[in-house]
Amino acid sequence: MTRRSEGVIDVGLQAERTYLAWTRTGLGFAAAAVLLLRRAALGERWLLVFGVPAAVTAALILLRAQWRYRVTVSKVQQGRSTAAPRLVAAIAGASGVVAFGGLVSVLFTR
Amino acid sequence: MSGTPDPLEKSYAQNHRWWRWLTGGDSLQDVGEQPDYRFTLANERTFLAWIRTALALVAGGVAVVQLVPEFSVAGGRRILGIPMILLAIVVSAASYRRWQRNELALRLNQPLPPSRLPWLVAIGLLLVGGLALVLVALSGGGGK
Repeated sequence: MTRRSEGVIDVGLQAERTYLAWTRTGLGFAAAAVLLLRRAALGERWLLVFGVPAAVTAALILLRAQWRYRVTVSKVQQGRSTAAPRLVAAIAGASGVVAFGGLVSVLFTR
Repeated sequence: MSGTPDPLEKSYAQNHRWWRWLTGGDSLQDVGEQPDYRFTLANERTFLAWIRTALALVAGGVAVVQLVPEFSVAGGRRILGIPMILLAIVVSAASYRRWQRNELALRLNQPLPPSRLPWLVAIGLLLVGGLALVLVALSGGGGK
């Protein structure tokens, strides 16, 4: 009931679109993780070094997206900034690590 | 919307030198005015779209090498996959800086800074597409 009346704050569904963008990004990490883990399962065990963090990042993003949706709506309600530089930096870093893992996997597997 | 800085964010920036180094000095929250939240969220979504572009390039590059049958040109799959992955590394690195510069411009109510990233990705994909065409053509078009 309360949630319904608070829902007015997400005018234009900005927070929802952002939540969906996070979900798609989490799925992107999951897809990259599957490719790296597949190779690891086919004998290149050392690729777990990149595959496992990629999978963990995917899981964290997908879980966090739920929570962050509510945080975003409440921050907007309080007139506070929703910018999250640390989160953005962490995701860019994770994406870089996954890309590096992909490069290494392409260069050093048969 | 008032420009109240997030106290948590502020103290973090003051206490972590590496963070100040990474973000290029002052906390974003100390600069300018808090923009319309819709712009901040749009900037975040744009950043995420770039990250997905990078991830798609990694997945594409790795998939070409792992899953596509070998071309008649030796090492053809790697010739195709490696540029895609290198492009992904560049996009990942550039996307954070771009988010940060956009957020800064929003706070200062300035026009968004120009970026060469779309141009770079377009050129990169053009090259990769051209390479793929050449490799497929050299492989005789039919199955081997």
